[in-house]
Amino acid sequence: MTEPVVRLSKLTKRFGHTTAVGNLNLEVQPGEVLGLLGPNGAGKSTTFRLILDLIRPTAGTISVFGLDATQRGIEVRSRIGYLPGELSFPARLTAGEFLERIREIRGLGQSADLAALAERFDLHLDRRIAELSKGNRQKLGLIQACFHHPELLVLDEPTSGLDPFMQREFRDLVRERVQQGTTVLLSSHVLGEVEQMATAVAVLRAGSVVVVSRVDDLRTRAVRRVRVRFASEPIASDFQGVAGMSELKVEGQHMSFIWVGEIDALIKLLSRYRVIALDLEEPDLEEVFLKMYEQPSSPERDPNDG
Amino acid sequence: MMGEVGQPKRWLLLRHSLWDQRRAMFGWSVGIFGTVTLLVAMYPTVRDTPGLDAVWENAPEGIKALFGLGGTLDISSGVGYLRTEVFGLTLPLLLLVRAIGAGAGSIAGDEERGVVGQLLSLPVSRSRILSERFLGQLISNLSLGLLTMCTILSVAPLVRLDIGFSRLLAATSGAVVLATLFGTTALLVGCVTGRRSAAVAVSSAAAVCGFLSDSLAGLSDRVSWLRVISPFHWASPGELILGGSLSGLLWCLAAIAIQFGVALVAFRGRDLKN
Repeated sequence: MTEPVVRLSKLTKRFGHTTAVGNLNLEVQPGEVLGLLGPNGAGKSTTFRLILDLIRPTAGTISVFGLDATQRGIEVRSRIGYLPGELSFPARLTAGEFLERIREIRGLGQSADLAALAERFDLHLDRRIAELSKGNRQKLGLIQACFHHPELLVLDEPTSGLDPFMQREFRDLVRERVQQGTTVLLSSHVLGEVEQMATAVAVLRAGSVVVVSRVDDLRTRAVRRVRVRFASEPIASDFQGVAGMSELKVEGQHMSFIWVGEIDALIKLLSRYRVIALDLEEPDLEEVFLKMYEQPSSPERDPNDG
Repeated sequence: MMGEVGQPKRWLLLRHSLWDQRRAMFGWSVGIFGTVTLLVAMYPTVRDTPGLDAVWENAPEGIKALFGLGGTLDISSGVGYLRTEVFGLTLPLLLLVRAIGAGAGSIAGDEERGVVGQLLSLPVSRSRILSERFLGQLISNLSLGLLTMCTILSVAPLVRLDIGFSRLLAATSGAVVLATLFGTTALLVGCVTGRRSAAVAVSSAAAVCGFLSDSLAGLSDRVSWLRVISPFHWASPGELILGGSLSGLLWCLAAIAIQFGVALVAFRGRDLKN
């Protein structure tokens, strides 16, 4: 069994009477892309700031690369690339001057990667940071986190503010880095983002992990909205009481329902009629989670609304 | 490709912080050069006005004390003039305001803007950031002191103002040490609280109290003990230019070192705000 890149044990962080992170246990394996998922205030950013030693744990331990992050922070941080959730860079510097400083502080020689990344993300290095748009600042944040090829990328809401084209460019970059062996820990409250990049997902709620799951597993247990058009009107009773099917509606040749479970069973079920059109809505992890792990305490979030 | 581990070169953060202060320092240099030049250039007017010393002699001790100018004034002599116009209040005040602003901005101000957090996400220790920024403050204060001396030394001969080099050096040192002392207070409060406004407020209040307790101590023997707690007594530029003892400066230097040490412990131990 290989040593996990990140291991958080019984991690707790309180601010006054507020518990931001409570008894959190989490492991990130080498080469894994773990998505931390949860609503705002679930403790995602706090967890990252603890890993970076910007804030100190109330209780519990943080081990990164097998090192205690609070004792050997410098060594740990030299092997991490961090994109904070709220970007704040020295506003008077140009983007290029800022990146140059980070390169110097990291003690690295001239790097062709900086210029290449700037070009790839279409960032003008001669602009002052104060003049950059939110999206451009986000690009700058990504570049400063990635350019030195860290072993671990810690990305807090990485694609927020990026347009769809740049989001794809960013996902490609992460994918390349993962192929080179980088481990990634990222957070999001947008599920599509995590789904597209992560191999595993940890759902955070009120400062602790509710569930850790592989994205593939989630898909097989996924919730799908299905719309079918048959060549002839189906007999509704053929479909009633089928396991995994709910909210069945039949209108003439059209039928729609919610499907939970394997696709194969669905195909076999539909094949008794001639299908003209089939529309499967891609599984939305939010619906998946809420369906699978919804707690009775929060009835206001009904995934089947609308 | 993977895992290029490196450390920043020594004084790199110092270089960055001096570079970032260059505009402000240019402004303060122009301001101090202009003010000191103007004050020194007006010396002949005062010297050639008869009876000024006598007027001051007859002023109530309370008024004199409030201005921090007890005893004989001797404003028509070069040393007396510099003591009243430059080293009594104006220069220490200018240096203090700059040092407090810069000291408060150095950690707390940058922390509020998120810049310290950004820096600390890199392989840099908190002691390293604080030490090199503190050193940057020392250099700024010293260089403004140096500028003051150079200005006086080059303008004084033009107006036939006699001033000995060693007294000028002593008085300027006093002003620089006072500014550094309260600038370090601002740095310390910023390191403890992470709030710029608190850093400015506490250190300014401390400076005002220090100044008042020194000057009011001259009013009567009953309150003369107030003097002991005031850095303005131990490093009084106005006394130093009259040939006062330099040994008080050591207390102030010790206070600077202690404040820096406490700031270091506080900053290393706490959560970053932003």
